[in-house]
Amino acid sequence: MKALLLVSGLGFLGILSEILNFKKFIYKLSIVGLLAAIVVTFLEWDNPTPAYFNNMVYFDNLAISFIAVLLITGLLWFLMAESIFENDGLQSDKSTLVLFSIVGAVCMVAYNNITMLFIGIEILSICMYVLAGSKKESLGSNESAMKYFLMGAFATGFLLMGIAFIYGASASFDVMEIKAYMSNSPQNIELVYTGIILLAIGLAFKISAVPFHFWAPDVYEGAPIQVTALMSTIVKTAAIAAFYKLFTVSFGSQEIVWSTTLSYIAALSVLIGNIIAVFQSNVKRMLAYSGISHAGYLLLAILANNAAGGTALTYYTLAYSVATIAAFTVVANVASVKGSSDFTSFEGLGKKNKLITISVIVSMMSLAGIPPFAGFFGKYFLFTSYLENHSINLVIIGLIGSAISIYYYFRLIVNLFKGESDEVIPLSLTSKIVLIIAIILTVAMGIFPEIMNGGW
Amino acid sequence: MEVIKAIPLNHYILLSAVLFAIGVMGVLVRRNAIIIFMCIELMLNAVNLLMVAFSAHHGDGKGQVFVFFIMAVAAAEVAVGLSILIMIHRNTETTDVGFLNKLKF
Repeated sequence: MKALLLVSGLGFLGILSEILNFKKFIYKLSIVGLLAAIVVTFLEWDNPTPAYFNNMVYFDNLAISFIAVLLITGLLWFLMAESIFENDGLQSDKSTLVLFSIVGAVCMVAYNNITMLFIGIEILSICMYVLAGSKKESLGSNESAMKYFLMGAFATGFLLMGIAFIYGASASFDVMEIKAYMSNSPQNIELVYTGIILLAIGLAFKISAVPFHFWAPDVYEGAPIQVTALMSTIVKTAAIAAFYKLFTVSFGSQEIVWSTTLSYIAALSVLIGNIIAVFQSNVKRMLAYSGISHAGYLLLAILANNAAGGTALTYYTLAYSVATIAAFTVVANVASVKGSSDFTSFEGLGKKNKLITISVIVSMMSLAGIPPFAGFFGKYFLFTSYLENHSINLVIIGLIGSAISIYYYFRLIVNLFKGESDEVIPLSLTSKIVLIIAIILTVAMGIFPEIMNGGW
Repeated sequence: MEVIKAIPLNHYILLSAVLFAIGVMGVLVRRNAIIIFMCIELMLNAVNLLMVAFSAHHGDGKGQVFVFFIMAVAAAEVAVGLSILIMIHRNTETTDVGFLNKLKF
């Protein structure tokens, strides 16, 4: 709760800095504020009274873990994106938009009322539409913003229609009241079915799962690299957490309605995301398709429909976000020197750029799910939570997808050592800090997976 | 309240579903960005109508409060959408979504 207020306050500070003229300090203030928010979040662990604002938000331990994941990702993002906060008069706009999008994400993971979920999604999305178009003169960025806006608003329509049907059936927006309504043989079952499927469509758009993924690669490629990093980490984490809470808590007893649909969505996301990623020549697009396949893996935690799925989800989202931020840090730095983010830009960089090489190897292996890195245990926890009460079919599809993904993740590593080049990519201090933190976190989470699973 | 309840709930659901479907078709078929915005508004208004009808039939105000949230958010969304459109119009001199084809694999 305090973290939510603190980050909102930081956002307002960004607006005030425009009037009171302290824009120069807003970047450093945001970083310090996010650090404080992380500390405050952990202090709220085992909160005895988790409900606030008439049960609108609910900060139980699962929500707090997700908020911690979001804030850690947000902090790493601010460090990696230093270059877009240079003194151009617009830096406070950008930091405000990003901070408010984090506020929206926090609302999405801590909601206890569908109204709050809707508002959280919109706060997050509207900020992201603006950020995607923040390179005003670039046609790619324009196109990305427009596509993201159209698809996002379209998905919101489906989401709202689903909410309306659920409200019509249960006469409530409260997650717990809907749960109570669902568990004792609901009347108006047609409204419930339609509502659940429409909500699933709306949320699947937001996490970019197949067959609702068509916008993702274009939007990711066109947006500025730093914004793409934000989209593929914070937006995805918040959307999947909201998805998990709504479907396992509210609709958990109606599993029979949604489990088949979501199983197909998960299987298709894993297969199609991984197979199309193989044919990409641009690293940003490759990471977009890999994000689609990871959405498929994350859906397994929802299909598991048990408490272990929630812990697996926090672990996986943290592992995925950290590795993705590291990958985008490298891509941003290489692209700023070479002018493009194609695979060929990376050729020969392995000789002279030790830190870049190590972080590419660690993050790609973690994303591919190779032990001892965090990604392996993320997949392991997801699969075990799913297997607790389901058959093995989807896990086999997940493993096949994982095997395909090794090809394109390793292609980037191989590219680093292909050909001769003495070029040195200059890294700023903050980029170095991000890469080192990401490497340490990925390795530490892989070696001591119990940190998050047992201790938390 | 009583006037709304005089019409059976099914009629409201059907009307909203039809309006929603028209909105979805418009988004999928039309090529002008402004018309697409209007179709998205149509989808949201179908939801508003349904919310109000359910709210009246359940006899509680939560649905109507939600409608206010939808209206406020839709206004904010359209403000952002139109400014994106103006940005694009400055660069390309068109509002046709056919220009959204630069990014392809």
